[in-house]
Amino acid sequence: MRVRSRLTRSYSRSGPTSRVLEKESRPRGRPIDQFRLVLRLPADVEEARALDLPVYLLTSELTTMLGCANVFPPLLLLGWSLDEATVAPWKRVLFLREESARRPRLEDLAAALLRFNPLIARALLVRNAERVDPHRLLRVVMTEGLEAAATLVRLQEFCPQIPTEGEALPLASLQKQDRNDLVEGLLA
Amino acid sequence: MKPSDLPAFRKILERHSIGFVLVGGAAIEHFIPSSSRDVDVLVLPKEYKRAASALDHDPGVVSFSKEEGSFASGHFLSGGALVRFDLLEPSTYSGTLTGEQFFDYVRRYKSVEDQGLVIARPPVVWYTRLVIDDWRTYVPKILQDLQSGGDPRWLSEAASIADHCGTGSKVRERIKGLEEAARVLGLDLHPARDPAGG
Repeated sequence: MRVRSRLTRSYSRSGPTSRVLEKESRPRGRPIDQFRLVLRLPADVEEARALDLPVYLLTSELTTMLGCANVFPPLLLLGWSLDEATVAPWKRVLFLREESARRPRLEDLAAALLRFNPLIARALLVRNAERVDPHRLLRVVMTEGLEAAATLVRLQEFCPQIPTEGEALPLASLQKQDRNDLVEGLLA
Repeated sequence: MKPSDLPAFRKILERHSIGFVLVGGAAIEHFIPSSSRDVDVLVLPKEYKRAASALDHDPGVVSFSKEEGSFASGHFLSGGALVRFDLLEPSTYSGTLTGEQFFDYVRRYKSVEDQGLVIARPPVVWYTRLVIDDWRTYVPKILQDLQSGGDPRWLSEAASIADHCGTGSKVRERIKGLEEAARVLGLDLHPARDPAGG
């Protein structure tokens, strides 16, 4: 058994569909049109977001604006229910709690990065330590089952309630890393 | 950099009759709590070469370097400590205006004077940070300024300055990026108005 999801249109909506929604052939006996979400460009993701779908493109351009100089390929944050119904060229990060992909906050972005590169996730939180909401961080780490990755880069520094699971990297190495990749400009 | 370092640098510039406008974090610090590592000043383009040469030979300046193009920097002594300064060429930020026009616009309409210093208002500083190619690296500074009490309406004013310089569409697009970074951090850039009119 496996879950297969498709997008459908609510009866109350009329008018043309968005260009990012491609209609699929209607199976026999199915009265409702089904759609796939087709995302090819960052602008497509913006259009899907305007439809209030749980999808977000996390780029290193954004993390640069949040103080991290690390460069990484874009990550597509998706609510888990959209996974099967979405066609996109980017590496995906699925969220059980769809709000984390619909309107991601700092802690959600860190959770996405934990699955991709935990060191960048930590750097993002270190650079914005004053804005970290420990409760929100705890919730996303536990909901998404990221305790081991969080422990690896010692996110308990931001929220001691995060359960410890597995090994942590040496503190001295992490602190050295914290000083790297800091965004600095001339007009400081 | 401490605010008390500014008079020492002003004296050096005045010694050579160099007209300038204070920008960067040191200018922001005049309006809201901030921390700046150096002193950034805009200098008239036609005076830039002379200013660079004069500072290079000034006894109060302990180091000086000028790269090709529009950037020179060095250190001066203030209270026994070394303070870094940068001389900035206005044409870097002037868009469709000339460097002279931009300098004049900022000095006349977008600055305040205090104790002999012409200090750019924060919207000018934010504009200069947003109009350059590596603008994203300055977004954390603007976000920090906002968290330190900076007025979100300064962003609109920065956009108006951009319109004046013919860089409006570019800067407004970048402000959207900054607003997204602010949203991620939970910063409210559009606080509801006080119903009492405050």
